Amino acid sequence: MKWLDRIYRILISVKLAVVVILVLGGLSAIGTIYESRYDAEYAQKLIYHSPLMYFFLGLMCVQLIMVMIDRWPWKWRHSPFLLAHVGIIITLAGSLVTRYWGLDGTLSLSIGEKGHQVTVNDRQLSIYASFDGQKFTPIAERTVDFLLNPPSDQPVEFRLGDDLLSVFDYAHYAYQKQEIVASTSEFDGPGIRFQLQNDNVNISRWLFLGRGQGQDLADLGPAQVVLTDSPYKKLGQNTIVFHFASPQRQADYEIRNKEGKVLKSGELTEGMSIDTGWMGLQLRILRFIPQAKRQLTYEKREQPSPATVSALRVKFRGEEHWLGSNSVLRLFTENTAYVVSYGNRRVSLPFDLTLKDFRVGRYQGTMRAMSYESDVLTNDGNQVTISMNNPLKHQGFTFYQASFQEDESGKPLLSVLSVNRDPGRFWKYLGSLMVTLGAILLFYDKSLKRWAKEKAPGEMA
Amino acid sequence: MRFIKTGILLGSIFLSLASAWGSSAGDLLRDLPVQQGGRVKPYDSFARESLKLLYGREKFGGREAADVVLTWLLIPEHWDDAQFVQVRHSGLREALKLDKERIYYSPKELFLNERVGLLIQEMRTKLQAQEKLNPYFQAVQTLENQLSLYHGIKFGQALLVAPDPAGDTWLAVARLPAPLGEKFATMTKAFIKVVTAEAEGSSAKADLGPLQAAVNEFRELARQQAPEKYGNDRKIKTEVHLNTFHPFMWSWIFYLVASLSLLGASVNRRRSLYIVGWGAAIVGFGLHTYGMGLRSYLLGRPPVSNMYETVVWVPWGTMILAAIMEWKSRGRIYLLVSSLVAVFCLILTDMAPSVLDKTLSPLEPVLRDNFWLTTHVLVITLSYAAFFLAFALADVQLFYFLRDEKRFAAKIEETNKAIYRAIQIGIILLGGGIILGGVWADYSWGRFWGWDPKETWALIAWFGYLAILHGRLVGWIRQFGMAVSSVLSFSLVIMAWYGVNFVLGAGLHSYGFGAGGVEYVSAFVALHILWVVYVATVRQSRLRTNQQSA
Repeated sequence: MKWLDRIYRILISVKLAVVVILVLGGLSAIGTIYESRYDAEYAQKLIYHSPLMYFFLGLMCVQLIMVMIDRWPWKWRHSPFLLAHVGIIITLAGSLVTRYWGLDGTLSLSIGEKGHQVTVNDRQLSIYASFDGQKFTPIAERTVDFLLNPPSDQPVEFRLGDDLLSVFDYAHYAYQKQEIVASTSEFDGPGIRFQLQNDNVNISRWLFLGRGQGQDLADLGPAQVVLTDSPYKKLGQNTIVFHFASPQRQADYEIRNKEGKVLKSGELTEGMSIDTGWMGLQLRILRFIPQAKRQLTYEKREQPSPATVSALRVKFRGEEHWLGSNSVLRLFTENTAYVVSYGNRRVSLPFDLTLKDFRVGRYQGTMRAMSYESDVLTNDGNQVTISMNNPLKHQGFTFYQASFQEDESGKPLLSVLSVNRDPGRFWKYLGSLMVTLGAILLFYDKSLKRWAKEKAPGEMA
Repeated sequence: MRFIKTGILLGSIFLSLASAWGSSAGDLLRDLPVQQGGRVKPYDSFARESLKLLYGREKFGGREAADVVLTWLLIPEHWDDAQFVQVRHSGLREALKLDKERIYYSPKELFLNERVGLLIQEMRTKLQAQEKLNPYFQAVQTLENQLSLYHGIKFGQALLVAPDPAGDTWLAVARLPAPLGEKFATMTKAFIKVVTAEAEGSSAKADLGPLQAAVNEFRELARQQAPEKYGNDRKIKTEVHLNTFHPFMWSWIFYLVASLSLLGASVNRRRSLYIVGWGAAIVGFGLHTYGMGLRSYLLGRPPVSNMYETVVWVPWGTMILAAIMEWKSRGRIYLLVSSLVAVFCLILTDMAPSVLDKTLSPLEPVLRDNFWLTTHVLVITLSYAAFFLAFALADVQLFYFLRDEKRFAAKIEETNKAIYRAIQIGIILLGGGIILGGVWADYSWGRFWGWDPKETWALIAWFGYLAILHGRLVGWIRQFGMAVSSVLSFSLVIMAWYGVNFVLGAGLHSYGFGAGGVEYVSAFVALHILWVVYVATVRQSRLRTNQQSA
């Protein structure tokens, strides 16, 4: 059994331990760079919870156990060393318990709302079907991870009656773009894309009137451009007014100075170009669509921004569609309507929570939040206030005040609670305590070095 | 006890020097309460911060900010044409087609520049789309802040001087009700009189009496608006004292005296110099503590919540650790090295105001009132202090290796023990701090460990030092290796301390994020790597020659 002995020697060698420590450090460093370039989810899935990371963490545990076996029979003086090493193993075991049996999600409630649906990080693809267009029944539900298993390698397919729905592409970062395209509905308003250009400036923008919308405005600082279907009176800025007359489906333009004096005017046509008379700015009408609508499209991006979401491309009956995260896609056959939804998985709590009230405290004279707190009612009738650093513990779950959403005037709309159940908590705390205690004792134990010398004379060289 | 007495004596001499400096018109206005940035602060702080934002410094042409900023309101026609608005970003200067010879421009030329408005609009569009601003657009944002603050002060809108009994936001100068407005006008008239007299250089001191009286009358009337909102007088006075006294500047001066004396003592072994060194270090430390105490009192929390505060706090920890170690081991290297560290850090806080922002600012909600938060940050930054000490000791030790390894064998042995000890302490503190951070995260967010970059880099640094200790155990790392690895692994601490916030810029610790200084910090790290490589090469070739000659 010479090879077994050799493996054992390698496993208990401190040299290998140093290598493992350095590898773990290196991997973690790469993870932080990934997180900075991409995002936390990317780093977690590709590095921190990758098989490689788990392999080295596992190897470290094996080493720690082997070294402890090697020191058998243990004496009192071994206790700091044992404490530190056992502590590390227990902490890691606790983390594993948390990862597999814990829950970490968010619960968003508006004031007065009762809820028990916790959103977690996993993604889920669900399909609902309806024959009458009224009542939808779930027909498929699958937890998916397209980041680790890209559908471009292995398409994910669902059978819907005689048809096949196939997810064939995935963009972890997709930029949601609204395009303005011609529509056939007579209720749709106009869209105008204009350009203002001189030697220093080149701006192009869309102006668009949706259904029931009377005005759209592009504020460019020293000047503004307005699309409206009624008279526009505001002064104080150089203004270009596009006036749209719905019955005729025609538009005209007016260029005004700060005092409202009309400098130029005329009928608006696509492709026209006019000198505005301000700073040599030339106005061009790039597009003029009398009946226009907004349409969502997605564009793959290499890196995330707050405006990107993950999105899928699906094929159904020969047509391709985009489906963004936390949104739905409607598909139709001759006799059935389908709704496909892709987004975060939801987990039901065994009880309801009601948000009675939500308050934001602000630093004086500013809109900066100083504190925020939620009054919630539990299912057993207790009213509790959850605030930053004051969580609610209820039936094994802990609720933390995480954040909130407000409207433009600063009125709170939603309170976001973070919901957590952590069966590994005790082990992590115990392990951490042992490591700390062990490390402190280790460095005060003067006999340690002597003992290490006795034990491993070869390594001390 | 002798050196404590020496220290106290030295200290009192300097303190009397500091307070003897003359007073001017603005002095009388300094402690008028104003509201800004979510808190009540003395006008002095408002003026300093405003002038720093626009001009980059706290004084203009030798005049105090308190004088200068009020004249923006009183004689804007003078300032509109004065070239004092700093535009530091060269790309932005180019985009605005500004005069390349300067970096200071007059408000007028900026306001009249048609491109300014367009760029600001573009920047706002980016902000609305929640895009991260690159340095160029950060510069645009700064410019917008500069211009809007100047505009706000000039038209009496940004200076909020009296509480509004009906609301949270204070009343601006332009909106003061009649009696208050009159008092304010009387005050400014008196102010102008004094300033003019000073400017005319009349040797006889201008009569400050009327101004003092006007200030007092205005203050009392403003207080009557809503006494409970008018701020705490003692805090206001303390803040003005902190602004004008510069405790950290005095502190590094004393630390500098300490390092020079201790250096002298280690060269010529004079006991008196050594005692002077200790004395100066103690006074420096006292001032250092005093300054941090003032900040803590004003903020109502320990001063460890942004980069500036930790750069002040870490050398404080280094000094304490070093003093204890020097005292206990009777070694003569710790205090010298730690004084150098302290001088370096504190000068840094004085020299880089745009990166290390010393503004006293209110906290994000998650950081308020939390025992674990404070503890974990204090412990982790203390570990940085220990590693900083180990790093600086190793830096010094490399000199011995460069000069003559054999001749300085005893010195090297001594510093080596010191490095080892400092790293041990650092490891315990950092390990404990990481765990406390986990406890805090668990307590505040419900998760113990979440691979947040800040905590991950703390762990990486911990791994790095752990590898050193284990490497030492198996004989991979000996004396020279210890010095080298101590210098190199401090880069990990710099990454965890500075890099995560300023380079990576990701994660939950975003309330500490900032920008700037990357090139200097990188240069610092690169220089030390070069230094290590240089010493290693010289040492290698020397060892080889020795072998050949043997």
